[in-house]
Amino acid sequence: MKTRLALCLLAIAAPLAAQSKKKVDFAKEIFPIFDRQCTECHRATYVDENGRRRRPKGRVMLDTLANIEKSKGGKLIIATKPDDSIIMESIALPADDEDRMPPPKKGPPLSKYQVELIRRWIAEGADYGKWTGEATSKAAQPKERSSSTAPAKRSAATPAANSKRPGVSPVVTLSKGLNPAKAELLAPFAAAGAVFSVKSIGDDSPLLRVSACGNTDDVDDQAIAQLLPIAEHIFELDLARSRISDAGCAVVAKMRRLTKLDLRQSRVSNAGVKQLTACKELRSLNLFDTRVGDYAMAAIGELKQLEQLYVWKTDVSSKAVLRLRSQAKGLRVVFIPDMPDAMDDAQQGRRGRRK
Amino acid sequence: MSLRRAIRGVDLDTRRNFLTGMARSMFGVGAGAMFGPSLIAGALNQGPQGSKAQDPEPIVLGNASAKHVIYLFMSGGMSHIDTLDPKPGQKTHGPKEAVSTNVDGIQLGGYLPKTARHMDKCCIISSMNSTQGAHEQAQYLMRTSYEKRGTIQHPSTGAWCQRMAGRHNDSLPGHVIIGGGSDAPGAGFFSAEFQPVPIGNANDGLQNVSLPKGITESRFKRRLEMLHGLDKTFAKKHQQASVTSYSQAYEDAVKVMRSSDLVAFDIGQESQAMKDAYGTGSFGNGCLMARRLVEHGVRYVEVMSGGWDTHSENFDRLEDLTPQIDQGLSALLADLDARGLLQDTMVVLASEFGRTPDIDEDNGRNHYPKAFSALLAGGGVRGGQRYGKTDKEGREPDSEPTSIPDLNATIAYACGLPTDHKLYSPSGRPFQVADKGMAITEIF
Repeated sequence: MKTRLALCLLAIAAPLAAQSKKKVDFAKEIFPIFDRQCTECHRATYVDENGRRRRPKGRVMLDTLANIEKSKGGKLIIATKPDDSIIMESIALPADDEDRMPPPKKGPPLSKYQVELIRRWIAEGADYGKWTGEATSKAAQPKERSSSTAPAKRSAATPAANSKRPGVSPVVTLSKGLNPAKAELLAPFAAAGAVFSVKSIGDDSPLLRVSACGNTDDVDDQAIAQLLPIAEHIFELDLARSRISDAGCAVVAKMRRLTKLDLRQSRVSNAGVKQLTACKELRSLNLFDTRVGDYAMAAIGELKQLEQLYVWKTDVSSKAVLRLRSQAKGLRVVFIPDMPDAMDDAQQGRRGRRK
Repeated sequence: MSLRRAIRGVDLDTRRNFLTGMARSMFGVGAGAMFGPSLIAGALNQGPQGSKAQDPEPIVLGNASAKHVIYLFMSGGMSHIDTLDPKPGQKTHGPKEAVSTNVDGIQLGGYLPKTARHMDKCCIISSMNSTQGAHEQAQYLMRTSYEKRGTIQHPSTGAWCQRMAGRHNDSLPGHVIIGGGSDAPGAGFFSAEFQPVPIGNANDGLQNVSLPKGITESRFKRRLEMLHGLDKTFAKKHQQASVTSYSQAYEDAVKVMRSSDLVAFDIGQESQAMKDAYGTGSFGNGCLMARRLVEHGVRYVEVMSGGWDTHSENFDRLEDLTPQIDQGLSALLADLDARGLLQDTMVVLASEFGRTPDIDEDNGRNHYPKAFSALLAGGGVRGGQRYGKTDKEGREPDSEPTSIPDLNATIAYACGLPTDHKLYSPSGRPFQVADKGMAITEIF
């Protein structure tokens, strides 16, 4: 009898002993505890099914690694120091203590085994292994009612590019294999008195956005030659109201990655636009109030990626616009504004209470 | 105060009054200003480019789809059910029938038939939600994303845009308010150079920008030089940021006076047909000026409209108020689009709260922040959609409740400003462009 008991005890003790030699696996052993008993209240701000915004209780979050480290100034879990870790204080309180976590109202306390497990994990160095909690944790999927197909709101530090057509954004395809422009090529544009403003489109992208710095009168066919060294990188170019004419278009034609070109109220005409057909990636071309005509429209037909074309107040005829619209189905040609009719006298007379 | 009277005297006092008056009307800078002589000297020597060293370093300009913002503010709490979020067939709807738009499935209130033709350019956020039901507090929150406090003046969203993204056109102000609002939060705790330029009446344009009769350019230059000489010692003794920024305002004023882009402020340059298309009331003129300013590179333009606090006779008053808005907004959208500017310009139509779905005995609607609407167009926003919904009668948001900071975060997002970037007040407290608001990125 005694031997059998001893053997049983040994059988139980052995795995336990073996277990105590292995380090606690956070993802398999600790996180399930957090997930089941903590993250209902201790997760990042979300919107519940009533449309109300729920913030993490006590500003403590246990749903992702980043959030754990952010909570309580990093003192929630202090590696190797369970007695200094704030989490241990709360979960080890007596069952009927008001400040015990989980709160008595929410449910039973963590078992002695669970508390001990967490203590051991912290003492062993609070190793999260590969766990970050971003994709797979249940807490990352907010319990909101999705009555519309729009995904949950997220904040963005820097916005991402949006392509109008379905498919891969040109930002992605055009950045492939492109190293950022060398610093010494960009330096002249940061100096005082520079004619052009040159900026990355964001997220340290090698693609650049260029516009006039101040006075658009300074942007002329001579000045635009300054952009030749970085022509390969230019993604968007704003030459609105400048003195660029057809001669300057030769430089623009070298910008193979140009997707958006604003030539509004510049001195460009048909010959210049013909050269621009070399910019095969153009998505948007603004020729408002320039002297381009039907000849340019025929050339524009070669730009297969073009989505937006603005030709109001030009010499383009309506016939050419209709022809281009029928040839290029995905192209929006804006020719005449759809201005509202003037207010009738009765409406004019009603001044209403204005400031 | 008459410029002529101001200039006629030769003494120092009058010259100061002239420049103060000019600066006040142009940049909202108060009296008792100090002069920064070295910077005025800078303005004399340099051309329109001006001194770049004074421009704040742009924080981050990510892939901004909106180079400009035109912000149309309906002050008083515009009734949402009657305008942007109609509830046809419900008892909360009101007498005027809703109109269909050029987007299937979306209707607008019957007061906005002209705007309905441009619904394909607009995104209506129907699920705005706030707890602020008082005008002053709600308007402050709308402008700054923060609650009004006695201890600090927060900067408005427009000031944040200037501060973080700078100006496109150095020779024009970067932030203009048309039709009032010069007492509204402007630069807040940012330095004085971020104060918006108030334009009282769009028809009158920018005041005090041309030299009065009898003062030639060389005479003006001599006077500025005299000023510089007199103030040199002061500047040496008091080298403070506030002195510098006030001087920046003066330097900017002189630059504007010399700029050929000054025509942007003159709506007289437009044809009568164009003026009629926008509407010849103050709001229409304001929208027309806003288009001109944006054409010339001004980043943030606000146009104010008042009188929307329709506690009684809501429907009669809307008949009076809405034609101008419908006209101006639809003209603005059509005109900007045709110039290729709508893709770069975010147009916002907002009010500080909505009005009660229930109509009271005065035939009015009262303050109602629980649910209201805002309209966004251009600047990368996908048109022809509604973001968020209210329930059947328009009482509460059914989905995607959007706070006022969320709306401002969306504007900031479009302008390429990082919404989590902190700037510090003089007392060392951190603030962000839209406080804790989260941008609605899925409407882009």
